[in-house]
Amino acid sequence: MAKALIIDLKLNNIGSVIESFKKIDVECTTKLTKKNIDSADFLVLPGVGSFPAGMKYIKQNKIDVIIKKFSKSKQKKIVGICLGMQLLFEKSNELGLTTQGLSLIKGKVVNLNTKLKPNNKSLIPNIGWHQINVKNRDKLFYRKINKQNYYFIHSYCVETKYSKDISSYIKLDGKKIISSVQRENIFGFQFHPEKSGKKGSFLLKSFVSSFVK
Amino acid sequence: MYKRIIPRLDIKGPNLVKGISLEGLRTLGSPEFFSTKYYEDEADEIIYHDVVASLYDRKTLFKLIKQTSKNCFIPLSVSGGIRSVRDIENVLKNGGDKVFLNSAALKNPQIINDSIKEFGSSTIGISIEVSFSPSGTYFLLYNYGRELSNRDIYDWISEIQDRGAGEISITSVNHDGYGEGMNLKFLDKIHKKIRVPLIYHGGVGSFQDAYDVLKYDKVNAISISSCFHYNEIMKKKFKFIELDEGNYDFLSGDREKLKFKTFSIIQLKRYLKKKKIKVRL
Repeated sequence: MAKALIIDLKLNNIGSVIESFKKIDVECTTKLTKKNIDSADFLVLPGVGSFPAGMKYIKQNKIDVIIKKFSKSKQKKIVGICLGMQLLFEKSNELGLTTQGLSLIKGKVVNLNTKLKPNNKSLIPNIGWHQINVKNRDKLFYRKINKQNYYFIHSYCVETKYSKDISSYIKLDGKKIISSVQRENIFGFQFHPEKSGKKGSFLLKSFVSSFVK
Repeated sequence: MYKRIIPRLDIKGPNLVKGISLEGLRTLGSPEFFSTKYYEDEADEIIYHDVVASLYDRKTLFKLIKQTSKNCFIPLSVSGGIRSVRDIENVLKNGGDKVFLNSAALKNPQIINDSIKEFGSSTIGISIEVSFSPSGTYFLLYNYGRELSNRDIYDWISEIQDRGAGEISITSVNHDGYGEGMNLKFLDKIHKKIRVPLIYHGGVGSFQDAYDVLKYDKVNAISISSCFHYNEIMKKKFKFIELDEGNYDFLSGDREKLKFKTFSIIQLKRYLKKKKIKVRL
């Protein structure tokens, strides 16, 4: 049974995330003990919340140290969901101030409204289901999730420094918006697999079987 | 982007309820039974609206949210009686994904800014209960249509967006529960002011009704109660357990006499798809 360490930032939808992993037989814990950290196969940084509030909590509780150390063992995986994915980047300008992120992936978090200008017709936040387009179909996992519908809810999006870190995108007002990223053992999903019905559950299951165990 | 079809479940204590113009609430059964059905039936999201919103009932509501998150792996929005940042945290912790504020925001609009700072704009929506007088003036209600606000409804729609609310849900109280058509006049009036996703609720009684609302660019979603709930109840195999609490006159009476066109979420989605509305099927 794969073991997941779910980071509780006190402002995320931790309940849904835990239930969706339990459903696919992943053992979940939120307690940051040394034993749990060492035995976890992967770490999940869930979504919901503002970037500054998320980083503040991470710093105050020294969770950044845990995540960075965790990322160094390459057989262990890190999964960021929604805000959790954005926190993996270098910086964000959410709420009009620059906040440093975890810097595990090179790039930044920008406002969707600004990104879509001047031809923006989409209502922001982007709330609802989109079909994702996988960029690199070499890996079976990405072939499995290509062209599937997932649930998005966000007002900010990421821009990567290296385009090879982009694994999929959606289109908004004709522009490509990154929907997932991967850099070595670090994964990020802008959408919520835990809220994307059976297709989302299938994604999580495939993720575990492809990359974890 | 697909337009969302959202079943809305009004909750009173342990029961799913539905009335007309938010009054005369009939008990319809267990909310969990209905939400699980809707999840299986391709709902895009689920709304739980606590109609009593008393502090006493909070525990029941959180238990329900928690249970729902074990069965329904789609977004769950919670509204009704959310008064503080702590309340929002509790909703999220128990498995809810976003909230809609109404009374609390009308009393103290700063709560919108404060909660966005914590949870981000996309988690915080505002629900608006709109009513109109015979002369055609629109006004704001709150507390499940029981109280009247003196704020100007158009100013309020602008203000909540300026403060960063991520979504707006509109209930037309005069149309709610009748299934005889919606408040399109009001949608026409506010359409230009809308910059965030809009959910419309109240009055849908046919496929065509849903289509007429979703045709609006900015109506990103429609939330429906009666058509979906009654569709389940009219099924021969529908069973309910009578609890101590609730008004069971409707369920234990002659349900066949119900005059309401009912349909399932999938049936509605198939119709909309044919009419070229993008829905997830």
